Amino acid sequence: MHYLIAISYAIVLWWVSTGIIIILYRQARWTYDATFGGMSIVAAACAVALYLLRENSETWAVYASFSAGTVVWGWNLASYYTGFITGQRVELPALPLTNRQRFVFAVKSTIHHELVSLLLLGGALWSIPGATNPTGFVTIVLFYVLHLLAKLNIYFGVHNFSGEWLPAHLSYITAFFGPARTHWFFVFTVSIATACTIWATGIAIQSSQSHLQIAGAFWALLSGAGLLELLVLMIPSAYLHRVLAFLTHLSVAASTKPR
Amino acid sequence: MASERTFLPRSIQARWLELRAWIMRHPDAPWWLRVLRLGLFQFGMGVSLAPITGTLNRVLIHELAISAGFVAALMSIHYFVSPIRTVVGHISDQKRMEGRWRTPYLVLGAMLTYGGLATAPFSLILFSPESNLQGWMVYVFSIAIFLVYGIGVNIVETSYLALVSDITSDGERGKTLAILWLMLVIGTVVGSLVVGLLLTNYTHSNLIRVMQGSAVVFLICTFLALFNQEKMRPDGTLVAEVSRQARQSLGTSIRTLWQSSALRGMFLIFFVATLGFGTHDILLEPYGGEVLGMSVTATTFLTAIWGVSMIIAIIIAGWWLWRGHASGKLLIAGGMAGIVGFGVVSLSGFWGGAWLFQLGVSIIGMGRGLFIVGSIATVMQLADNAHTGLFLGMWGVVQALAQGFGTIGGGIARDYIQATTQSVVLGYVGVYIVAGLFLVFMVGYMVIRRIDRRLANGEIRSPWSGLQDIPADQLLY
Repeated sequence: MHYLIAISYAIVLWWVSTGIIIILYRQARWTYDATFGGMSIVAAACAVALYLLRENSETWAVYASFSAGTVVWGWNLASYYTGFITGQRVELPALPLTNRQRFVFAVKSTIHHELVSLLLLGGALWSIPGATNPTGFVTIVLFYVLHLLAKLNIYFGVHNFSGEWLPAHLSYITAFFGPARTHWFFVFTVSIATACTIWATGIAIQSSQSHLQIAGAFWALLSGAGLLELLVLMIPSAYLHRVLAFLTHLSVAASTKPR
Repeated sequence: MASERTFLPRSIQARWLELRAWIMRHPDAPWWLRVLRLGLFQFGMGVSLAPITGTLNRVLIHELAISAGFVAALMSIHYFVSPIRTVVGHISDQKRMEGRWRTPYLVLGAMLTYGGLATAPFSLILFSPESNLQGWMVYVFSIAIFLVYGIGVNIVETSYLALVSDITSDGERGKTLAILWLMLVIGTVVGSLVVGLLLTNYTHSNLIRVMQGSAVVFLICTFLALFNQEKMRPDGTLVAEVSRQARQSLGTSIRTLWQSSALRGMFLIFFVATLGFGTHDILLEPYGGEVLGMSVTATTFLTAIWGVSMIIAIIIAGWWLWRGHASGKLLIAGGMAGIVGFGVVSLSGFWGGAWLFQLGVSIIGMGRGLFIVGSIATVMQLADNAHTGLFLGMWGVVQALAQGFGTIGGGIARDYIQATTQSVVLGYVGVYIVAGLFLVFMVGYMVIRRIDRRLANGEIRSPWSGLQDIPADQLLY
């Protein structure tokens, strides 16, 4: 039963938070400063909360730790997509780019974002040993790994990611996308994500401590969702879009037109 | 139709007729039932493998403090008697050509395997402090037990695969084999889960009971799978659906193999990668016990995690091949995953502990599954119908030897590093790093020599055929 509650909680958290982000994101450009400033304060509070909760293995602390980890990572993503922390300004040479150029410019244009992500990863990894409640830290690590794998896949080339929904100030990154193909890296990626899912499920089922069972359920759901996202990158299907439109609030997005 | 079954109660008769009608409506159903029945053998094999490789080796090394090198040697005896495959395969082929049965070889192999399985746990009693036997006698007895088991497994596997190839047509063989391999993995997973549950309160006598139970399960599954599969005509000759060619001699196949440098490269890859994946097999459970302090139940659970990963990797690889992508890429992806997995497992000795170790095991399982399906598919792709027979048995022997050397080498290297550095952790981690380096070499070789592209373009070709000769136990151990 506690698995069910944990899973429902994670799904609701994901659905509501992505919904809020999309609504905020579709507001006028000038609101970004206020939004991002507010998010930064909340994220900092969450980082502190993560640290305070690391010795607490009660059930509510596991939930709080997972939520805080998610918010911290969400802040990191928002900082990139709103254009506050991205990277060096690069002048693109004439398209198409060679593979090497593609990689160099992709790294340069996101370098600040990547460094912040690495910083978050390092902090999370550093805090894990000895923590009785590592839920939020492992959540951040999983987010990092899954996000990196998805990004690399898009760099190598996938079937179903055109980037047409990207905001105008980010549209240049489509130049870094690989050709529409199925690269072997995709299989590698899927194996890693699957391994994470199996491992987290194993912890949820096998662990004798109830707080680890709940944490495992959270991690399993997270890596499972990441796995699904990776698979979606490879499925060029109109049918799928209709399902995803509901899940990812495209209906919300459609009714709140960008100004 | 109804009148022939009147001795049955009316309700059962109705069910029977329903079932028959259902099968009539689904033309594929009899085929599936037949393949699943054949696969019961693989399932039983998987169930019996779980306690030996998953539990017995850990108990011997960790609880009874037997040298890991010796235990590894015991466990890998069956790889080194694998050349017997070629001999038995050859003899049974010749007899088959004369119209005699394949089944006697199956029965012989199954009986030897059963004998080995049923007596293997007694090595526990022999090695325990209360044992009456002392010194070299103990070692001789346990070697004898595992020798019988190894010979039995090789005979029964080869005859089984040859039988499968006898009774399936060329077109359906690939599909059949995929299902049979999946059943082997499922058997291992089910076996390790059940063994883990039964051994929650661990005692030696409990383990002996469980292992003998698994031996009985193996025997029953084998009987159910193989009973009456070979049919006789009234005049005593076989009813053969597929005609078979005689097998080549061992010498011819070796000469053909070494003629092509590209094929030598392929073999090098298979050998090195299997060596890498194989080194950790025997050390996985003891590592969990000795370094990370996991219980017997927890380390047996590892086998389950590993098996689930392998099943999913096999399905992913199947999807990949089904979409028409090149099998060579699977080798690279599997090798990469293996490298990451070994890295994570090594790291877990110093940082992160048991949970990181489990993650690493899962990743290694994925990599291994991808690699095995990739290599099998590559061999399938290389195969043509001009040459049949023992040639692929040779491939199996190369694989088995790599596995054997990897397993033994891993055990010996662990003992050696532990003795020189006085560090338990370093002994294991050293082996894992070397295994990772083997995989780095494999991936590097494939990328630099562009093996995958040459495979896809058809630049690497071979006169081999006969997927049926790939030993199925290579999948797991």
